Amino acid sequence: MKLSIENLYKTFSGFVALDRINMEVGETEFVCLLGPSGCGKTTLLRIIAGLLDFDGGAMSLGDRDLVEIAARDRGFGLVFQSYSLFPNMTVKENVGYGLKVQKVDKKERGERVEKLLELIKLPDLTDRYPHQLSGGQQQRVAIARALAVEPCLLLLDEPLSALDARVRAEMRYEIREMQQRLGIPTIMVTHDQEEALTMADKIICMKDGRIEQIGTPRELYAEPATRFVADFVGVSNIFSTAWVRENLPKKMGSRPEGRENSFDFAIRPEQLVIDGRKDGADIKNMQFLGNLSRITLNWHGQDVVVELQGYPQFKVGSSVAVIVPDDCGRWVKA
Amino acid sequence: MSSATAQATLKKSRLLGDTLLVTSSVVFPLIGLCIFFCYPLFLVAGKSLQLADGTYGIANYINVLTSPGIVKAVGNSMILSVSTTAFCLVLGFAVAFALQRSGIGGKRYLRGALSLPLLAPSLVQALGLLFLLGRNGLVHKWTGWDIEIYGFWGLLIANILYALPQAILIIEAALRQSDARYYEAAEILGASKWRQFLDITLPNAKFGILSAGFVVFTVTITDFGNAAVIGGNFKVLATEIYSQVVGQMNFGMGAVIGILLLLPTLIAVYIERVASQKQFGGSSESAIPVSTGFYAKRDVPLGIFVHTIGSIAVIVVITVIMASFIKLWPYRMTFTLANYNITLSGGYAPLWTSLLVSVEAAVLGVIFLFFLAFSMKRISPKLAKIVYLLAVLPVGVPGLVLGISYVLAFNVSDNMLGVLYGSSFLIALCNFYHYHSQGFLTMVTGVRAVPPSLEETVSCFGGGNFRILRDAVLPFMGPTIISVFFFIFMRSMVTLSAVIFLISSKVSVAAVSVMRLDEAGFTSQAAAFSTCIMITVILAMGLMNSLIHLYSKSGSRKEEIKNNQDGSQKRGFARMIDRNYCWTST
Repeated sequence: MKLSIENLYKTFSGFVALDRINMEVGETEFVCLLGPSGCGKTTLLRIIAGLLDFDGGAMSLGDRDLVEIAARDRGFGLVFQSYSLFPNMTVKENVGYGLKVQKVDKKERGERVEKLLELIKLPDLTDRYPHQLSGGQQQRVAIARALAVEPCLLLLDEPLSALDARVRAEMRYEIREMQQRLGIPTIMVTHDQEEALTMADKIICMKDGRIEQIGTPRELYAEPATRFVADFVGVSNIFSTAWVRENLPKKMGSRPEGRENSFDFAIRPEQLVIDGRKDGADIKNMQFLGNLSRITLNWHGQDVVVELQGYPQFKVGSSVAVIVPDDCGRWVKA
Repeated sequence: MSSATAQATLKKSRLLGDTLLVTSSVVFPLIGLCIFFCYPLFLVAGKSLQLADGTYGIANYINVLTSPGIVKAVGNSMILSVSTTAFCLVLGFAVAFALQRSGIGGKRYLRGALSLPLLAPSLVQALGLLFLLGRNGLVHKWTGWDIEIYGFWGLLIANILYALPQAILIIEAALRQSDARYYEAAEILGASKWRQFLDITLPNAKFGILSAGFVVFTVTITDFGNAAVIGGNFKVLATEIYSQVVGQMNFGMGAVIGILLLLPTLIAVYIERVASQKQFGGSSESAIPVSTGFYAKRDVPLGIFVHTIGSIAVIVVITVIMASFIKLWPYRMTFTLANYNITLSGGYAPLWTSLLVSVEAAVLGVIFLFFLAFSMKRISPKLAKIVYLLAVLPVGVPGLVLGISYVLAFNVSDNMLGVLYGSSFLIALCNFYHYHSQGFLTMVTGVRAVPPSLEETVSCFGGGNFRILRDAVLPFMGPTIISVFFFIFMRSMVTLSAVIFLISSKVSVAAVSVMRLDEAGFTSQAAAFSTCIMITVILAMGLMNSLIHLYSKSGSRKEEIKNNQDGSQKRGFARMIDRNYCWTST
């Protein structure tokens, strides 16, 4: 079933938390809500879950209008950053809890729980209590608990933020794989762009209660629509129209019509090339990151970041030339 | 189609069940508050304006403010309360600092010693002082010195002993808030220990000290027990109001003094609220507790000082207990149980009444307050605000004023409420509403400690409020419920100020018996009766601690997991403070 949201609107005592949200989640799609803290992504997730009311707009799942349905009757699965396992129940009881609420009989419940524990690769820990598990294990149990009731939509609220870096990377892969195998439509909230890029079919990038751009990870990175997206997803060098007119006049040809400050030019650091034999830009700073080096230059009064692979041998303070290849860079809405 | 309709009806009935649960858990406690708190207080306000001839005016106020006796009592009360507050702050800070930050020995003992006064009726301190320093006291017998213990000085010492534990608890909570990193930073910057104390410790405890000051002031100005026993000719407001109402049946005057007593208390409570918010708002979630090293130069004198204070508190209470077993204190020091053969004012009946009353108040309190706290999040925020305000209002009303208000509201023959007057149940109600705020706040903190995501998880699986209550809330609430129950029970066992107005020739309570026995000159029997009360309360306290211990042992995993979950450390911490808070204002 497809989740669709039209013109959703939400205020908190006068403050607009969500403004004209339009989005869809396809039947087997993994969608990430990405944005900085305070952008409204968690509010949106809680509204979808039915834990919060909204002020205007429409929300439906398949042909069911969700406005009419309380959180408890929606049949969604929800996983929190803080795991939120019942501390007084064992792993088995936690996973089987939703089934118990729905009065599924004991035998069937047992079988389902067993299957799920296998799915999350913790079949031996059935009788442990949450505090006896590591963070990653707890989060897996929380996911199994949400999946046990065969939810028609799985909602993940920053599920990986509380885990340490290595476990987080593992879990990214595991969650994605599980979701694909079960084919459950999933919405995940995250502020980590790398997480969104690696896991999602579709990313919804949000800022200040509005959707900035919707697209596949590739689209968002390669074709950002706004200055915010260009900057938030990955790193971009952003040049004003005036600066481009002065220093990169060739690029002006592709600029859409619009007022002077309604568009900026964005280009990724890895797209820029440095020519050490010419000059024009001064190297201010060099960072060695292992697989690449990040060089900050002053180019016509503007800070420019360039990322190069290999081990470039430039010196801080020396002068080099920056080359902008013809097909690189994009005009984005300011 | 039929299954769809069936499902719809099921949904509807579930929703109805949910609403019904929330509605009734708000409505019943609210009705209670209206009838047994708001209504009586309105009567006091009304009565204070009603003149002898039935008309209304401010003549009562003028009368009170011009009658020399009462003006004197106001002055006395002020002097007494201010001095008690000053002493309690200095001593309280010393003890709190010693307990929280120093390396002195015997902390557990000290803590126990200084919480003794909370476990006994307020007049026990006065009683103990009489046995030690009075005309028939040990010191007089041994040295022949004639100490005038009745009056200001006796009352001052008794009040200090009585109010000190509460000051200590509050200041301790404030000192506990600090973060070791402040001190490490100061140390690295080269600040001496004394500088650190002046620049970090004191400023951080500022609001704790302030709120302790107001609590002590309030407790002292409205305390009745010590003033009745050791006040002698030193008349204070509390005794004055009692003699106006009970002695001279002058309800108008009593009401006026009641309203006047309300003012300092309300101001104090208000400032204390503001202060405590500021104090606790400033602490970070991941604070590292300050270590308690031993520095001989500081800790040896400090230890001697605070242990002296602790010993005085213990000696006073032990004296009362010993005197209860002595034939004729201090002249014929032979062991006897005769004092426990209490014949005056109903023998031991008031003790059983007290037990009954306390259990009733505690059961009622736990049920009402738990459901009220549980529903706070489930009603509209506006309504919740009003409910909250109403629920914490009783903390600003001294027991004496509440007592008078109950007399005015229930000592009537022309309406239904009059039926309650003279019954033990009314005393239970009075005690419950007297300690309503502290119990409520503790419950609210307890409910807040339940991770909201846990409740939401239940919701998403299709569980209603009943299930949320059982699976998400209750597992976290055990210790809170236990502490609220015993808090109300124990306070109810020892309180005197409100119930003194509600007793009749048939129904009386334990604390009043002690006072009556003392008034009648049977001081040894009064000591015996006090001992019985203390034993009951100490047993209750032991029961409480072992129940909480048992609970946390069987659920040790609960505590642990909570610590793993985000932000819960602060919740647990805040809860601890509030559990203390429970004890910090009478």
